[in-house]
Amino acid sequence: MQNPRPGLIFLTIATFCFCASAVGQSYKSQISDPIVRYKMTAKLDPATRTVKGHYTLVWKNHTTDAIPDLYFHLYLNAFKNMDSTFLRESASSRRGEFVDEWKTSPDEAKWGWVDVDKIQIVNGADLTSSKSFVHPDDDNTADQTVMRVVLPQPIPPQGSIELAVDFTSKLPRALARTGYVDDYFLVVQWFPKIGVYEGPGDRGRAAGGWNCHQFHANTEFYADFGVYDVELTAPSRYVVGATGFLRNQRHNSDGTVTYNFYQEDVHDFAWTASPHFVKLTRTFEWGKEVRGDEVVTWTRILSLPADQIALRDVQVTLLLQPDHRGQEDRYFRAVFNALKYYGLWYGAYPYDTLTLVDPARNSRTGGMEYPTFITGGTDWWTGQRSFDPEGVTVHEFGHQFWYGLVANNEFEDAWLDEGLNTYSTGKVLEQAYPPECGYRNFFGIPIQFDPWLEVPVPPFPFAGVGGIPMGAYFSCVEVPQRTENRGGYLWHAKDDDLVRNGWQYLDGASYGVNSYGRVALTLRTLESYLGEDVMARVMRTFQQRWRYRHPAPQDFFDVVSEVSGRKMDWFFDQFFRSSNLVDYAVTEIVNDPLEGKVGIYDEHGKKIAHSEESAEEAFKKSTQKSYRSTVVVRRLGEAMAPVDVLVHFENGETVRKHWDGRYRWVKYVYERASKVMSAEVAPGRKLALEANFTNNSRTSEPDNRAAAKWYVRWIFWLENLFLAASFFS
Amino acid sequence: MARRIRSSVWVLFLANLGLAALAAIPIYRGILRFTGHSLMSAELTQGLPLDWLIDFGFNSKGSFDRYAELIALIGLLSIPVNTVLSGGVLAYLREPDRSFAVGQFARDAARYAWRLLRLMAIGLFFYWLVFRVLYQGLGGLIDAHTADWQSDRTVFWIRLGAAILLVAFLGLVNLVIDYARVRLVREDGSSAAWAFLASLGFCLRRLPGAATVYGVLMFASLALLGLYWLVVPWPLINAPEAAQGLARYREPLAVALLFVGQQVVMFGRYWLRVAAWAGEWSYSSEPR
Repeated sequence: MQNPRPGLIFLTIATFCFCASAVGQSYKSQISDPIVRYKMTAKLDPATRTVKGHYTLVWKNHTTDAIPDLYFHLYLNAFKNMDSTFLRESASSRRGEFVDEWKTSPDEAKWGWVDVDKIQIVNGADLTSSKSFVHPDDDNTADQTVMRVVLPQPIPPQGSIELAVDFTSKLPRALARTGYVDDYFLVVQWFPKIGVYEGPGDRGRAAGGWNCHQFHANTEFYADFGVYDVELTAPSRYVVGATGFLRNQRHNSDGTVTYNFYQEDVHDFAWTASPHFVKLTRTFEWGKEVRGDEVVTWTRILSLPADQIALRDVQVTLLLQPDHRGQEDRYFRAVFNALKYYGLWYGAYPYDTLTLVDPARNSRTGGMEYPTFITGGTDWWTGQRSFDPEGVTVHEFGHQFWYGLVANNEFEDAWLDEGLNTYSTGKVLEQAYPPECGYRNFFGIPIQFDPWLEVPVPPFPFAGVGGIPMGAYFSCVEVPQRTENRGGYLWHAKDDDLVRNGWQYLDGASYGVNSYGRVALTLRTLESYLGEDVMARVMRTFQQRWRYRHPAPQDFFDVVSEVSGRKMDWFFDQFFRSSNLVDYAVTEIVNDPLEGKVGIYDEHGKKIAHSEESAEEAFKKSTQKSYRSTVVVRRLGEAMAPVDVLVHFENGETVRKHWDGRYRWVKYVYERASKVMSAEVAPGRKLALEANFTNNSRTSEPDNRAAAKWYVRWIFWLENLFLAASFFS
Repeated sequence: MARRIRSSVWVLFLANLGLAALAAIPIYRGILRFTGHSLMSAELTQGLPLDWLIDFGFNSKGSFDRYAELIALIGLLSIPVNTVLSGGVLAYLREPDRSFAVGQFARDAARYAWRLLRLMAIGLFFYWLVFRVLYQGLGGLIDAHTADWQSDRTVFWIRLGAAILLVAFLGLVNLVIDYARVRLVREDGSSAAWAFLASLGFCLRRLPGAATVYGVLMFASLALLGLYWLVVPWPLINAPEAAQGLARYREPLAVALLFVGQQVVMFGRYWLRVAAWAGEWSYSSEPR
């Protein structure tokens, strides 16, 4: 619908509001024949930090292969000893310092593991003795994060198997993502979880096979969609939250409570327990959160009927640390903003519930995503204009769309969900909040206080004290999302190509840059080429087409080309499949006076000499001076992209040229009555990936005013520094 | 007394201005080379664009390190320079009515230089000791004990307490060294170690009075800096430049006024520094 009538839209909205106003278990499965169906019971013993569990798993072979074995992730074995691939890689990564601290801590219960006590086919063979550990990614025979079980007979194409599994999960002292701190438990990646069998043609595979990678320092997860019906038992003093909908709970005679959580169409199950959580529940009522004109806008941009823009009401549960009381509004507002914008842009969040965990201090379990279950993170002293908890909350919620619903392989294509989500997070934050105060202006220098001191200093959230507008003197240095991403990207731009297996990036920093910020910048650059509306349609189409499925990078590229109607292979080659830097520069502006004739000329049948002096004299006397102006624009980087060049003349005239940006340089020559004052390549910082915005422009004359101003300021700062140092004299 | 010895304040002020101007030269040259021909220059006169900061950091690799190294080097040099100069300043406190002469100042500075440098070394040792014990030692203990505490609010207050303790002890060392410096010049024959010990005893015996004399003028100095911060019309100084008419002189004028204003503040801060010494001199000379 190209031009929807507002009246019709409001009627539609009202209808949807009415239908969805009562939050309950209204989710209707979108997958008719799920690959996995877990029915599980698990009991937490806080004293031993252990979960004893049992499940039955019905696993469907959706392929045309006969499958002779099964692969399982045993993620918790990553924390079993220092020889696991995860800990080996982590020790030399950005997490290295924490690993050292963790390894040497006196807590002997810190190690974590998961044992498969028994695995058997229901009403069939006991497979326990046929299990072994495999290492598909490296030669680390000590790693026990992938288990293979050989079946007595293959599962036929389209056949299924039902397994009964007993397991014991010993939770680690939280080092990364999962584990405990004192009596706080985040129980994730905790049970033996079957891998993904990819048939021929799945994600571009030539032959079928298990896709079940070891647990690496940087990579995350990959699993099939299915049903999780889980009964969790914990001591009654614990507050418990989990993936899915709480169907019921019962008090047991041993002082425990059993909770039954249920969710369809998800690919993982996570939960948490702590006696300290403050449990708060609010409902996202989309009829109140989304204005009619916003629906009108997005029906127009996305060329969709209003009913497809409609969202759903969602019950949001926040499990808050007591110290963070007062920040619940910020948490809920962040989730509601994310539900609104992700929903409007990419399609409604389909589930009934979302559980948001505010993690315990020092647990390193913040900022994680699981289906309908995320962890945020904040400090009690957080500033009003800092993005804690908003940034992490919006980002982790966004993973419900990029990872949760569009479930790419996070081991192999981490950038596909992290990158698309970082881009989306930035857009939501830009839409819903003023730019973050990443720094405070201290005498003109942007300062971040926290790293300086062991004691974190509040970032001056106040507007003033006693009527003195202190805010103006600790003024905010706003950090736009684009700038934040670029700040990290450039230093690792050449470390790796963007499209690469997650565990094969050079190091953790390269993984971080290539999976997060660089993708966001690349998508911003793509957006500047396609236009915002086309880009919005690209993202929407990709989300909708690949919901409840496992896309590969090429699937995204195909959607871009299809929706935009443009061959964008050059872009993907330059910016996704290479590590080339893009750097265009205006390197030269020369204004030569057109002084007239100098030298020997044939005039009236004679050779007439014109001297330089006479030409100069004539030029000086001339009232209509002309110049030959030359502007040289160079491609200093290896990456190529078409760019505009803007030339500004002294008389106010502006000329715009388009350059394909392929050869190493382009030269523009003008003969005019006005000099070229300045020139810009890729004006408006269109190339968000640019290595140097400063050399994107050039003036014909140098200007030392900025240097002088900063020199004067620096002198003052240094004088004060030396005066402070003189106290040590 | 300090009013009468403002000539010696000039020496401290100019010496440090010279050091600062020297240390900042590479920054001026770096900005000019990198940005002088760019339209980004206009943005840089109005503030510090983060895009520029990223550009400069990435494309002018090593520059920040070089600037930091030079600043650290000159900053370290400024410590003994100010130590030596303080001898010349303090000697004038002995005879405040004496007219200022550069030669005499230099002779006085040289006369006390060695002992003041030894006092400086003693002071640095104690600063290191306090830092080691309270920052690293106590900080480490707090980290270890609170590793499993889930309440960030409680840990915050504990750490803040430790930080205040650290600052208090650093302040105490500074107080003792300041009084020791005065004593070393006032009692001409004192050794550095004796001056330190005597000053330590004096400060501990008369802590409220000694700390008040020291603290009031130190806080006045900080207040002067705060006042400068409040009154400088930053929006005007950072206003977009005008290219035409008389307004085009606004930028150089703003820079010149900023420089003059800053130097008045710095002179005031050095004057208060000398005034603190004068106050300490008077207070420590009073009979009990």
